[in-house]
Amino acid sequence: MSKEPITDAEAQQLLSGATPEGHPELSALAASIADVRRDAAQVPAPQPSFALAAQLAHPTPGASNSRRRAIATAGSPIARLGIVAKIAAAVGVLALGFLGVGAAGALPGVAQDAFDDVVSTIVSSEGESTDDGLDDGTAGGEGTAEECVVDDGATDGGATDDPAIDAATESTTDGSTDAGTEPEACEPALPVGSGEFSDWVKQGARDPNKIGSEFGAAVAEQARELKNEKAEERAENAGTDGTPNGNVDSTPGGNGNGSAGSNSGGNGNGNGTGNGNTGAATQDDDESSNGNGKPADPPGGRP
Amino acid sequence: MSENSTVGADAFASVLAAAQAGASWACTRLWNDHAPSVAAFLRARGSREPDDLTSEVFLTVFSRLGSFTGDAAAFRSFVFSIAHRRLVDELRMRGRRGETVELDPAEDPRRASSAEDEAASRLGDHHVLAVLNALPADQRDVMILRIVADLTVEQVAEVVGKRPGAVKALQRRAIERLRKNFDPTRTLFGP
Repeated sequence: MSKEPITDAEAQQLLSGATPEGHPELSALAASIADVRRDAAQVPAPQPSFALAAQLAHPTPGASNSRRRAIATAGSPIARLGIVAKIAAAVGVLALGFLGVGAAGALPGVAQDAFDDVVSTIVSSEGESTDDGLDDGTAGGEGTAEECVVDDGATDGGATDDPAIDAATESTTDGSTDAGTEPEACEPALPVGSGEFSDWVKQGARDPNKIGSEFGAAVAEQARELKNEKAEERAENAGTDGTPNGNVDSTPGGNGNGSAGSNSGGNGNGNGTGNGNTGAATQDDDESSNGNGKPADPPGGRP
Repeated sequence: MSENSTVGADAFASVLAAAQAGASWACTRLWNDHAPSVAAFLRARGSREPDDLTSEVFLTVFSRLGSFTGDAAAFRSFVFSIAHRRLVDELRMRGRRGETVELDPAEDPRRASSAEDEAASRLGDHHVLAVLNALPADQRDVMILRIVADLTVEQVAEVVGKRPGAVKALQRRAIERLRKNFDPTRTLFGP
């Protein structure tokens, strides 16, 4: 066995599968290398992967590597998900879509009603405060009106001697100032006597979810009565302007309001009182009622 | 496996131009010419999934084909450079995750072996490959690239990122080791 190191040429011969000259001891190694080379040459082309087969079928000349990588990474996360994860993701997407459509009110009739019921049930606890807030907002006028009316009622209640007081106060300037302040403060919040108000009260009374629906119905009824009274009052005022008719007219109204729960009514009635002024004394509403004392105010105060 | 088995120099230029222009037939031809040696190299070098890795190598090759310029030998170096890098990545990743034994359908005794499987198994059964795998990594890379991939010293130098002189030195040292350790009477499954 030769111990001399082999040269590059001899290494080339050996690696090509031939026995280098002068190195017979390498013949077995050379033969093995030749076998490896032969078998390696016989290895057929492997089956291309799906991605490569697609690439071979439709090559994309000049396709950037980053673009292909972006496509691969975009699809791979979903492709790597298990079947359960895919189903969960699909259900989640469908649920979100259903909620979105339901929130938009675009579901078919029955489904939308069911959706609304479910949502109102779920949000009921929070909805109460929200509704209250809304009611306050809408009925903020109501509340204000109620205050006015309640005061009126109180004043009305104590306004048994209203006529006398009215006689003394009706000419006061309070009415003018009140006419400019209080009624305006209450009016925008009090659609009393108007069709919108009564409709609103009706709807509120019909809503089974609202607390105090019966009360709302009574309010609606009262509002209707007030409306009729207002019409009559206008007719009367047409003939007798400047008289304290308003007071007189309003007195019954005021009474009615006070007794009627004081809300809506208040409105009108506030008129009533001018009376209140003396009675309640403290309330601004009294002043407003004073304004009402003016012939022109009652109409303004009510609606 | 030799250069003669691939397209000639002139023909290669036309095939390359067609592949760069997006011709399906040209890409398929490049695959058929080079994929077997790439798969054999990856298998001999210890890849767990040589076929899949070969496909990944050629996906990269085709994605970079537009920027390639050179002849057939340069293209072969280009392909094996990518294959070598992908192999190193796989081996490194396997080293991080640890060795795992996965079910290999090809090893299922109930499955009939194909000609491809037999050729691949014959390649893996060579005792000389077992001895090569016992060499240091740099010597092993050089020897397998020289024997299985049939690359020249210059091509190997380009693939492994060394100078040709360094590749020749590694080659000599590897042969000296084989000279000492190779015993033709031993078999892979023998004593």
